[in-house]
Amino acid sequence: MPVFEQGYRPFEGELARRSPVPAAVWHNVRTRLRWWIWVLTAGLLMYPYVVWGVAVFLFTAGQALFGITPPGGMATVPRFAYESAGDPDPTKLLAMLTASSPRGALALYWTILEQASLAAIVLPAVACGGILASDRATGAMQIYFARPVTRFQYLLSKILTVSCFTALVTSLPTLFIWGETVAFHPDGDFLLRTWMAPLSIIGAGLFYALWSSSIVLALSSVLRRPALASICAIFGYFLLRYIGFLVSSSLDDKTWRLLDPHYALGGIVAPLFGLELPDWLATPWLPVPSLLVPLALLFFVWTRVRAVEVTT
Amino acid sequence: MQTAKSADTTQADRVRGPDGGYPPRPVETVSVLQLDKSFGDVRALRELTVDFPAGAVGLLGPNGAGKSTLLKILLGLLPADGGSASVLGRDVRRDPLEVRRVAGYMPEIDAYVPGLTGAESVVFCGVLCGLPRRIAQQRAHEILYYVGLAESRYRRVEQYSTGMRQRLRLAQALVHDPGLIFLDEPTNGLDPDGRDEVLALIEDLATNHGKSIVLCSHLLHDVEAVCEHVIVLREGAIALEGSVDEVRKLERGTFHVRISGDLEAFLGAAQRGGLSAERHDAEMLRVRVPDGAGAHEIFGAARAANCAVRSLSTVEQSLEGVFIRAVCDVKGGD
Repeated sequence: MPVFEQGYRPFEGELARRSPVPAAVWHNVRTRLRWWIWVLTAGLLMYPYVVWGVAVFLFTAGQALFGITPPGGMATVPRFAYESAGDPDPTKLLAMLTASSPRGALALYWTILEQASLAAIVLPAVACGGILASDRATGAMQIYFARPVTRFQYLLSKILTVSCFTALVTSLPTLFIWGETVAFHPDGDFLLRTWMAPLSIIGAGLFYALWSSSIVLALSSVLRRPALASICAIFGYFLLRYIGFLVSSSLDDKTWRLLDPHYALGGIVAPLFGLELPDWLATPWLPVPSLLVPLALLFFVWTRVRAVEVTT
Repeated sequence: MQTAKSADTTQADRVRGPDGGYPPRPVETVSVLQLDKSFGDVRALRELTVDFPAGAVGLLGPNGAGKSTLLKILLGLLPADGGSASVLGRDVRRDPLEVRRVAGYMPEIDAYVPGLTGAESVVFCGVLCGLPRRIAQQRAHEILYYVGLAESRYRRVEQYSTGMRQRLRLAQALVHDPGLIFLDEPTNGLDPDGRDEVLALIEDLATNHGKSIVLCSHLLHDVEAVCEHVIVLREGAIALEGSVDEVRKLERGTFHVRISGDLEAFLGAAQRGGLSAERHDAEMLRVRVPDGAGAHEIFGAARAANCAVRSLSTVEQSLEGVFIRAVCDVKGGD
């Protein structure tokens, strides 16, 4: 007779007192990895990561293996963030790859990462739009709170879940490109020059994750329909981009571009990669709202979760 | 407050299942002392003091009696304004997580984690409670077989019927083998056969597997079928407490009597004769005679008041009658 047909059996061991957060995160991520999320992820990774990844390969391994010669007229390594457009300019890429200073290579990774701001919102919003809304709708919060899970642990598991999806299109592919560069770069000391790069990439990824998780969780905590939360997050991104562009153009003041999440997020993390901020971006108050706003949003989510926990 | 402490069943009898193979249950599973809770002007619990004995205990009460508030406080989800409570010896205020680890809870409302199969969701609950994943997987299959969901354990929970979800919630509450299980309306939405099966499971857990159960239900039949002890709450206080047998005895020696003549005179004569009489409706009286006395005492009182007894019938001994009286007493005897 199979063991499970022997009726109810007591558990002889001892219940562990480990944190339930990893189990909750794994479960949350796994149930969201549907086929269409993989398709969306693949689409979002095409640019900048696949394009830049191929370019890096061509200018490192390709040069040695196939004799590919880089285009002439090498550009200079950028000193400031947003010094030029972020398109994959081969001469700029070559300059950053062959720069002798660590800043040159670090600038390469910032250039790649800052172009992923749209993906950093789209994927978490689509994958996790219902992360709190569906828990409320299906009563899943009762399942958590009737077990040894605190509100902080519950919220942390949700933040980490959204962060995982953010990392899938920000820090993880950037780290992959760093690994690719290290593996194929002809200079043996490239690794020594760029040992800071993983830390910078992870730091920047955490910042992107903080923003994406706070926005997605806040929307998911107030909107009943997951799709609506996703649409609001993506629409909000484009709306802010448009407003930033409109105001800065009409007032002829580039500082207003900070309303654009693309510039705001990219500008905040640029110093991590050794880049200086241009005058219009170097506002002293920028770091304050960039941290306070997501924290305020997360506090709002905390109060929403508390209200549900009490009515559980 | 009416009290009917158990006399015929000792705690020692209750603490072991019939096979005697399970560890002894604690004498008291839940201990509540002077528990007080208010929501604004509404006082949900009024210095509630009660001990839940081991075994199956029915927690009854009308809407707003404080049952849900009590459960939330016992699970550490809601802080009490005053007083203290402990579950299986753990203080709910100081150690709410430990309480939730050693106790199981089956919520009343539909609660499932979307995107999981029945087996996965039971495993997930086990892991959250601290079971190693491998053991949680093994136990999930055992428990799902036990509650009758073996055939459908690989189906998505979203595809389950109401009855299946009810069983799944029971499985989720059981997977980590808790010593005490709080069941909130466990037979809601079940057909009669399904209800009987779930009640049989609960009874099996209490009698054969040494589990203590707190069954919160509006269905007195369920409590009567499963529980050894009953606690009735009303307006945040204990209205009635005792073993089911003892509570049923409260109805023993109770008669419905129809009188012709001066009703007030009969009530006076009954009181003088040691009977407890009250109006049941416009024409009917409810008369309780002391232990050892019988219907002849009622006839004696009628004679003394110059009244005639038109009809006399014994009141059926059921939990429902006692419950209704306990609840109505509080509402001013209406």
